[in-house]
Amino acid sequence: MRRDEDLARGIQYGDRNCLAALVERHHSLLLGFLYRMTGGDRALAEDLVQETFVRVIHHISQYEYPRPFKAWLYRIATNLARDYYKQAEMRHTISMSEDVDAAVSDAPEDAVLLDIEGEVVASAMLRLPVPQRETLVLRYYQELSLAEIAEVQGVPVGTVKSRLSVGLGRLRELVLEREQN
Amino acid sequence: MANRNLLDRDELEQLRARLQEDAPGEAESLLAVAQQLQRWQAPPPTARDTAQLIARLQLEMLAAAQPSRWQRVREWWPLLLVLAQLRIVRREILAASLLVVMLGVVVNLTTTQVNGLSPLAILAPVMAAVGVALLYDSDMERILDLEDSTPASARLLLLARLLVVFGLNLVFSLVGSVVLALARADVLLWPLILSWLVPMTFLSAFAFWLSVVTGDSIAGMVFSLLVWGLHVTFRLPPMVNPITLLLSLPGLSDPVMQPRLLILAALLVVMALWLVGEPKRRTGESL
Repeated sequence: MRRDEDLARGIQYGDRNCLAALVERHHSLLLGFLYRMTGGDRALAEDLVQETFVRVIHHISQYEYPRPFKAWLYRIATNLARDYYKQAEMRHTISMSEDVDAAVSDAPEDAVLLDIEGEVVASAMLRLPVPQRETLVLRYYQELSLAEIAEVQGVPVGTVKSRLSVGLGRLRELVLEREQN
Repeated sequence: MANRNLLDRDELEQLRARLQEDAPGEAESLLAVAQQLQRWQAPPPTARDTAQLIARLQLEMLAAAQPSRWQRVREWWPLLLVLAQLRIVRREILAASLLVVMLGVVVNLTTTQVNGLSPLAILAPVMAAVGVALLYDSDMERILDLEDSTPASARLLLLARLLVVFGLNLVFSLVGSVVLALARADVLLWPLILSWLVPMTFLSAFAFWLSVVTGDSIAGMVFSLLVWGLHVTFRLPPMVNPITLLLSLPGLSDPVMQPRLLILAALLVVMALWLVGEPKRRTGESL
């Protein structure tokens, strides 16, 4: 099986089959990542997945072979998710000044449609600060290594470890709190 | 905390190992919440979703492959050809040109004219002619024979190199002239440019033509420099041997002669390029 890095180089040379192979390999994982990052909004996650791959196509010349492609791909997806948060926050702020109820209904949390079993975890995750949530999702759902996460987030490995440790601790508290309620 | 076991034994061990790496002191206490994470599952895309996404992205890739206007300019082959010659043309010649022009500017800052010409106007044509003359000799002809097998013809390659060397000398001299005009209030930019531009163009064309005709770059360089030296030396004193006067090309820095000199320079370049591509001549010498 060809490595991601070789497929990415194939895209640099204009090989559309390499693009198909990469999309097939990463579609489900990337959708899972963005689904969790957008608070379970499937349609939005699909849009962001497509936008991620569109950016891959347009910026493929910036990919430096043979650096890990997966980290590069998730950096693009993470940046898109962050942009989404910024826009959501802006919408939220504007709406709050006009109509509090409307703002609440606009918040990403409201778009979450979850199985009952996952609801507790999902709502707890959504209450974590974005960098911690991002790190937990990349580590425990996408199964990236610490070094890969550090590259995706552009921070030292020590920061990644600290985010994981603090994030998991906070998540434990939130889940307990939620279950007690 | 609800702790329904969602993982099999191996997965649990993997999770434990990961937690040991992430939070060594708290791995066991965080194991339960890390297990809880598995409860939030994302719906996977269907095969149809993936196929549709691939189809859309392949169209996007096709559209992205169309070059933009700027890319088309950057990939315009004459420009690529000229830029490629930058790597071939000897850097020391270009460095020498720059140094000589800088020297001309420095001298010109303290001296107005030497024999009726500004130092920059005397020096600028010298290095352009030397650089252009060195572009071609009989060795180069053999290289050009090899290069004939490339899509660009030997004439085109030589013309591109000529443009590179002459163009860079032109830029150096223009920058030098601007610096001088800014530094000295009595120096006017346009007359200064005209004082070296036509002699530089003519001498470069003459040196190039001589190199091609004789097949010897040294001959082209020496003879053109000799003509220029004679011209600079004898352009003002009226009492001079008629042969020397003729050799010094008295009209070379005369504004009235400028259009004729430019036409002559163009003809010399065209003739030289024609001689470079002339098959009999090349075959004869190669054999």
